[in-house]
Amino acid sequence: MLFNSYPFLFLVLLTFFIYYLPVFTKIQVYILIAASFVFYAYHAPYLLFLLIISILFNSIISWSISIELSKKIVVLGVVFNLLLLFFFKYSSLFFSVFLEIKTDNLLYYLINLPLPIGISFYTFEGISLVVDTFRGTKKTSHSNKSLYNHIVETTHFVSFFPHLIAGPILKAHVFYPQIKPKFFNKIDWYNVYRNLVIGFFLKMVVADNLKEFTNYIAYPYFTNLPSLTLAFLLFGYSIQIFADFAGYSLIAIGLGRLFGYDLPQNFNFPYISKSFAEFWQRWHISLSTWLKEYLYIPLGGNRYGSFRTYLNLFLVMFLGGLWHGAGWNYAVWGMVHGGALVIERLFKNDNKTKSNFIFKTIKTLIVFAVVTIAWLFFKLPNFGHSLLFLKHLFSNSNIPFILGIREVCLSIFSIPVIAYHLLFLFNFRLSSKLDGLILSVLLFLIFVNSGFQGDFIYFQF
Amino acid sequence: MIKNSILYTLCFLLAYSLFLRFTHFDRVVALNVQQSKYITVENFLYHSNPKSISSIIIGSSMSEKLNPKFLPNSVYNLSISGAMASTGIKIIELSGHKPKKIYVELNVFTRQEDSILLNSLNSPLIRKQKEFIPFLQERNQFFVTLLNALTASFSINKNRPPVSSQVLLNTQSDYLKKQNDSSNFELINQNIALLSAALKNYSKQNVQILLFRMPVEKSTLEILNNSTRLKFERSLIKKTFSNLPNISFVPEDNGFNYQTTDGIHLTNESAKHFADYLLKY
Repeated sequence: MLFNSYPFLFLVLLTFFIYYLPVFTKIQVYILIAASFVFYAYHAPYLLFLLIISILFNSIISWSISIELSKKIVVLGVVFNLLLLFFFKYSSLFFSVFLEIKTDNLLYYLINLPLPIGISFYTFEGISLVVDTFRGTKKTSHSNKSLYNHIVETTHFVSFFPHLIAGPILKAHVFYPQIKPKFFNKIDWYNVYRNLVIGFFLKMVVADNLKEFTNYIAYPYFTNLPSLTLAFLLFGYSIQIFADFAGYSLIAIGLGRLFGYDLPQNFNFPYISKSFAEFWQRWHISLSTWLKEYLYIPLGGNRYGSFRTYLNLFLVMFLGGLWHGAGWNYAVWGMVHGGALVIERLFKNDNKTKSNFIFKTIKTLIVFAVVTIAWLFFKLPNFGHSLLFLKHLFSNSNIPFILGIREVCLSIFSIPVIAYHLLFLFNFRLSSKLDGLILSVLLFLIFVNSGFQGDFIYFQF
Repeated sequence: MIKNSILYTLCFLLAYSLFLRFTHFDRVVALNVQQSKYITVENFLYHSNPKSISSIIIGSSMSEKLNPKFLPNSVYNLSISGAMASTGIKIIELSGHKPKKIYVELNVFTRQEDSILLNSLNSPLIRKQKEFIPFLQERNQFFVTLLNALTASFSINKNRPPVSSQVLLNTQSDYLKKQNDSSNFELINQNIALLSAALKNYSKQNVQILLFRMPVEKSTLEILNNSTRLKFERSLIKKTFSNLPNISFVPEDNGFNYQTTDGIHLTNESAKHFADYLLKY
């Protein structure tokens, strides 16, 4: 179910109405679970079965760990989640490379099932639950809670519909303490409204309009376009992917608050980053902190010398790339970022120019340019096509450039994202009146200038 | 703050609705292909007068070049960029119009049906809300209105020049690849069958159906004539539509040197010439 659809609006309104009825205060969690299951099963009900298996297994494993602090059970839990992810996401690629399976084989049928939506997110949350319980960071001593209650809470933690399909990836120790009765008069309306309006604006007005133009980043369309138009398209896609994903995250945060839950911030103005390390502290924060907490630090982090640190950085980014999908293009995207982080660390020094405005601006532009070019590997599933695009980007300068509707629209629809970053960069504080007026304009544009409804880019992961 | 913000939004919407009520553009320029498709369909559904329309042209972006200013008021061009004739016939069915004559372009059969467009038209909720709330229609999108106001003010010349030889070679090279793609044959079969079923239905109701092909650049035509796809398509069309009551073919006009902007789509001058030729039938 898409956030920007009528069925979703109906589901949220109905759930909201029932949820805050005083008579249902004690069963609020069950109401949200029911709504989440309807949300998840709306297009493919059979996928709910897999989600429930994952939840039950992680509930039982984490429960067992809280009773008997056993490393073996932790390993079992982590392996189960990784196998689930591997089987549904990577087995098709794996078997196509290493094995030949007959088409009448059950395994062939299973590995060719469509990717269960949100699996990359809920398996990571499963791992977080298991590891947090073992570390003791999630308070699951269960002294006064039954296994049944633990299963209910875990189901709520994993399936809570605002974040179920595309994050933010929740950590058990952040979410569980929030599971308690919620009251209508405690709703933080300002933040609900603000997050929803900005989120829907970014998705429906910016991303959905830009996608009509960035669709030209497809073979063979780009081969006949001038270099400058290709640069416009790539820039537009960079803005689109931010607007699409940050928009989704803000809607998720707004919806979370509507039901009394604080979901973590997922984007913090990433395109003003002056380094790649900073970029990853600002982009998809819930994934990067997850990778840091559950992969980079367990691998040794920066505790075993320079070489090991570089290797760990590169490996984490490579795996982070593959997390997005079973394709070499994602691996290359991860390696580009991993390589950039390693090079940046190699040349890190405290020179005097670091406070210079021009130097900072140049660094910001370099980071933005590399990040933007790397998005090409996201956009084009075929690695060869990505390289071909880069070739044409630099060699099509002989084709005359005409400033047309496409280039003008790419610029116009990018302005809100650029302004959004610049306002933050220059610490421009809006008065509450001006803030309200801007939100009104954004809401007005949602009504009168939304693009054609499109899936959220991160739904495919 | 929230109340004020919502109130301002309502005021903006009201002001914009009033602006739309008293503003009219002769021709609306879309920002992208998808939007152009919806504008064509919505104009036909919400802004056309069925009583004054006796003939409708359906087809793809190729016949979309037959600009309304080249056609009499009784002829409506419902050709949709990015779509094909079978989409057009479904929209006529949905609208309930029953013209005397339907001109059907036969150049494009290798597209998937636009299910999103057709589903949105089939949804009573979406159709009604767009009918009664004009600012929800694609042609009334804020930036479309802004762009059209600007182009009207500066009277920008939108007449594109004939294609250059380099662009023509590139287009034709892409075209060649597509023409010989045998995976398209099943789709062609399916689309012709769908179109045939709908057209037979109209022909039974005494609607005259005229099948035509849009002309293209001569060098492109040579490529097309040698393609296995076109040979297959032509023989299937002949087999499907020959000897049916009220359905006839418009002969191809080979006596004029048609010029295009990209090897496929006619320039304004050529489009006007072909419109005159077509309407003789």
